[in-house]
Amino acid sequence: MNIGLSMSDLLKKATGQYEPINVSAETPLECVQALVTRFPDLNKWLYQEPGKLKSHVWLLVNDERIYANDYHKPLQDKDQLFIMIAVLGG
Amino acid sequence: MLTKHEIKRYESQIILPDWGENGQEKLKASRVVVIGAGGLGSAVLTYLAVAGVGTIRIVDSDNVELSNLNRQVLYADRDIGKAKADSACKRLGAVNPHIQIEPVNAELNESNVFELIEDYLIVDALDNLETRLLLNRVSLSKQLPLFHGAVYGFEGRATTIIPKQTPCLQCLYQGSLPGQVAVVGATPGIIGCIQATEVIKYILGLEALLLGRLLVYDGLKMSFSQVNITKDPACEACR
Repeated sequence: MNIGLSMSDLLKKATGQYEPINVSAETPLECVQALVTRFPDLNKWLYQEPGKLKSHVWLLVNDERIYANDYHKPLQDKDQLFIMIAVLGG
Repeated sequence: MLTKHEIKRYESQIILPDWGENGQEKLKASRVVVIGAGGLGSAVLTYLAVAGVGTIRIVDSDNVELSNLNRQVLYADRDIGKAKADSACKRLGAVNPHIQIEPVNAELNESNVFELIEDYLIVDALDNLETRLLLNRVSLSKQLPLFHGAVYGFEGRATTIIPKQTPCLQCLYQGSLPGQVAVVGATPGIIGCIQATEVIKYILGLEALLLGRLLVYDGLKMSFSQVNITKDPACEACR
């Protein structure tokens, strides 16, 4: 599947990638792995351990937040995945 | 009952068709607790006070520090070293002497949270996950709305949580970015104003609250967007 992938500001700065990219992946988690393969520095931002995302990582598919039980669900061609970081400053 | 002076003070909002003297009376009768009198709290408190929310409780255990002054607009250099709740109370009392301000110079914890929140509407203007989730538990337990805001740098987010109707805060947050939080002063100002708007709309019964929606502000792109949020089926707090 060809998936559009974009990131929140913090991750854009970490990668220097400011425009959305396309990745080939079947599931949300595969998309994240494809991104990390392209930008290895993101590993420390996104992964707690191989295959397990850190608790502050949010995934959104087509502007809807998804949770861990949906990370392995198949995506549709041209779905949009957005990766956000939970921030809690006040 | 509004006095003539109050009607004059609030006339610019009372003339709104959805507001009126009846709406102003509702605000006067309402009670809101703002937890955290920092960057978000400064904006929320200011706009709730000038709108005429009748009773506002401020809970914060911190003293004002020099490094707060880039964003915490309730305070000035002369307040450094003083309790935030007390300084905010003094400032807001000067801004609107017709409302009741209740400063609480205490850290919110398991043993005092129910007593401090009572049945007030809850504004989450905190800067840490642990206490935010404590507020979430009280909101769920007492079925009280929770008005949430959070910021980092030029980014801000806000949503309104109504127990049983929307996802709870613990659905959204299982963790947060560690380390010191960088904040551009205007960002909590913008998000705090959105939280205050949500509180006022809730009290007046106006559409459409940020229910099941997370508003995302990006000050660098200068854009607002929103994402749909649903309950996390694995959430232990609200399932």
